[in-house]
Amino acid sequence: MSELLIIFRKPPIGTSWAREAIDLALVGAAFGQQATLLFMGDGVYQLLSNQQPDQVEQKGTQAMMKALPMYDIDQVFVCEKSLSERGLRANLLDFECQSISQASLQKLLNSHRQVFNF
Amino acid sequence: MLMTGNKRIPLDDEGYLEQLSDWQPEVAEQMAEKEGLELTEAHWEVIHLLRRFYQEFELSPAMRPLVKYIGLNLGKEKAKSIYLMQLFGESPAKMASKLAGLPKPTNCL
Amino acid sequence: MQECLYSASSGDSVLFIEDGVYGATSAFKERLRDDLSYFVLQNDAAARGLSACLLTGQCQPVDYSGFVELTEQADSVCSWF
Repeated sequence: MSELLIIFRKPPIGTSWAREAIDLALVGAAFGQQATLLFMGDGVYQLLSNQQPDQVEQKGTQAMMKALPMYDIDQVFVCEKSLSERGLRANLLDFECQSISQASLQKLLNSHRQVFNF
Repeated sequence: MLMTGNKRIPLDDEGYLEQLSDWQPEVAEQMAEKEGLELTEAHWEVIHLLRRFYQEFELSPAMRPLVKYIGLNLGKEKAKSIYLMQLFGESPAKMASKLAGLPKPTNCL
Repeated sequence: MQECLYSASSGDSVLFIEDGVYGATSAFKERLRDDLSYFVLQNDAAARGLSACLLTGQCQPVDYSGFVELTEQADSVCSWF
């Protein structure tokens, strides 16, 4: 189990929250601190496939997200309830991630010493 | 500042390209000369691979992902820090990113 | 979105833009009143990966010039950012 948990709660476009959260994950990995990622709330929208941020002249996070395996980050979780509230299913997502219940989510938070919330 | 032909190419304080679109092989050669490196085939294949990495992931890799990506694309025997250090010196991820015209890897020692 | 829909008068047009486009997804269609017309800026939807199958059919997609036209047609415009 990693020490570092990063929670993604903001939608992907319009602000730099998402990019900064991924940056933190990559910096951690480069320094040998493997992070666990958790997407919840509007953060689950970051995982949607076929985002075209260039339509509004911005950079998204999908390309960076695809680099996660290069950094050996493979613990990626998504909150089941946040998905269903938004009418989304795991098969609409661009990334391999484990959908988790409230109980597992609570366990995840309890088992990490450092939690960063973006 | 570098010159190629009669085009001026601005660099930042640490010698990285200010405009990624300014890159061409001649730029890499001039940068390498400044750093006292002579570019061989072995250097070029890493430089081109780095540019591909950037296109694919929109970021400059730190050492570990760079080594992993090389392993996937150029073979296991080249996927070693020591091999990259022989080519690019003590901080290969930084040096090779510079020569490839990429931003400085932010997530790097 | 809730305040916007609460405040709109019958016959008004509502255009979803920026992160507001998430409000045009089928998940929230129960919230839409049926006495308003709904539009969604397609560039903002595409940027966020919201394809036609995720958007509710009640929202008509418009491009930037459609945005301008809607603004012209309206007597007044209120933005609910």
